[in-house]
Amino acid sequence: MRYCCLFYLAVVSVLAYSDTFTKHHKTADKKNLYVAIEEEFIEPNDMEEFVVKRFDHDYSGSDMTPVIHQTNDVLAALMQGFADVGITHRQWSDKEVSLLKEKYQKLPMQLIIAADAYAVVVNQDNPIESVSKQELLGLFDQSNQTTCTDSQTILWNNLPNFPRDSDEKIEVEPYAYGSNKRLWLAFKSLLCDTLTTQRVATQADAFEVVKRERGAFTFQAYLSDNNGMRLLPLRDDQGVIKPLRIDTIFSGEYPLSKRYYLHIAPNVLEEENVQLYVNYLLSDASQTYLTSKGLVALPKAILQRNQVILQQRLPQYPGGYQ
Amino acid sequence: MEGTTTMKILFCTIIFVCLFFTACSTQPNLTINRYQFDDIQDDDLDGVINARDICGQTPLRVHVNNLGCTTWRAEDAILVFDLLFTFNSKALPEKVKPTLSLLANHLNSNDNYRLTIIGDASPEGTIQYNQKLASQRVDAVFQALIERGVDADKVDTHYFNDSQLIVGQFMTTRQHRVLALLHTPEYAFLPEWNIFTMENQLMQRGKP
Repeated sequence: MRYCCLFYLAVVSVLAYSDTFTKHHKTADKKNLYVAIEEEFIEPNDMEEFVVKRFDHDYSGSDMTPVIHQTNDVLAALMQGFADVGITHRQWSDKEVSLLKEKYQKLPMQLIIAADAYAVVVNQDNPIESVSKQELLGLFDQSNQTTCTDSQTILWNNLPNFPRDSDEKIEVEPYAYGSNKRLWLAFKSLLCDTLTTQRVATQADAFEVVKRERGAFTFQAYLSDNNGMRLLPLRDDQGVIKPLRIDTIFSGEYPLSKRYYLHIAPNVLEEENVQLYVNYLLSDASQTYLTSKGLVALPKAILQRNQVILQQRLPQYPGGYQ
Repeated sequence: MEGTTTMKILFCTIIFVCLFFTACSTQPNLTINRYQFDDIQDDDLDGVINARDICGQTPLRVHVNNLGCTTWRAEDAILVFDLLFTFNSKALPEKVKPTLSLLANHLNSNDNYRLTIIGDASPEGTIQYNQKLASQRVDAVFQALIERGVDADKVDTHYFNDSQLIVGQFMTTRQHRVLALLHTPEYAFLPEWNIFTMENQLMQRGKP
């Protein structure tokens, strides 16, 4: 009996040691997958959770571990070989694709991974009925989306469709709320990066101010509750009012929206680990997580297109192309 | 009489069948009520919609493939500098030194830049004398560049009477000078062929 117990303990010890060794060995052998990502896409505090932890949890058997490479120029990082995959709102330029093709003899791959879309929340008595993105940009007297003017008082009266019979001067007062820094960054980037605002603590506080002040405006992300606030209708370049809807966001028709792309460097396209990571980013769990952070998750139609690009399904859609 | 009855039955049957199928037919629904998720705009105006275009910011008036990408190639752009010497002198004049410093800066800061210097002399005098003078002028320029930190491998030297193509192309007149040709390779797109293409190419070749 004693020998049996000793033998059992020995076997258990050997198994435990071998398991620890295997685990350690696996960790040591894990390859790094460099993921370049811009701050506008996800807040730095959430980056580790989204890029690394959730993948390690969901795909614990994988022999690859993602490494974050936070940068302002994701595509430059991919071109220079500092990253394998990248997430940014920018698309490849013609020249960049050509240089990549010359370097790797293959074309890079890009997939839409999510989107950002915002509504402009204004006071009920604001006399402006609708506005185009260019007119909003024009209010801040800039065209390159990098600097806003702050040298003078900005008036709603400067918009071309402000009622001409009114003598009242209504000052434009943008309000930001501090509960989600990323949302504000992304919204601001659609107008101008140096937009100066007054800041309040929460979205509810901002809505309260907008209710009170006739010239105040704030923003609201797609799908969040607008609590009965008035959303300023937005016109496209042709003057057509575009509703804030999932199709107008992903087709690029809605003026205050942008799509985020997942770029894969040509030299790692065939790697199984990279495909695994791409599947993770496009998975339901990841998309749900992104939605919780204020992003717009991919609709089924865009997911199908991504699967076709990834050669995971044939380019045939039930019911025809939609 | 029997034939008339048969005809009547046949006529009634045809009418019945026609009415039967007409009653079954419905008007097709021509209204389209579905969402458009694809970006069907063409931001870079290359003829390929954004949804299928993997190459953004395509230059205008170029030929593109089905993915909206054009052809790019490395082209050698040449900037020409005249380094004028005093008549019958091999000494480097003070007034060309700023130009030499500029050339040296460009060569030192761009790995792919190259310089061709072509020694020249005014047509007075014998060929032998002028060649010696041109050679001394080239040496003076070359030494000045080396002193400014330029890698000797980046500088190519020629003389006015060389049979090299580049000499014939740029040495259209004889002067007391050294001709400096700065090669600045650029990654340029291939323009689409049009009726002016050949004319433009000939004009480019004819440029000194």
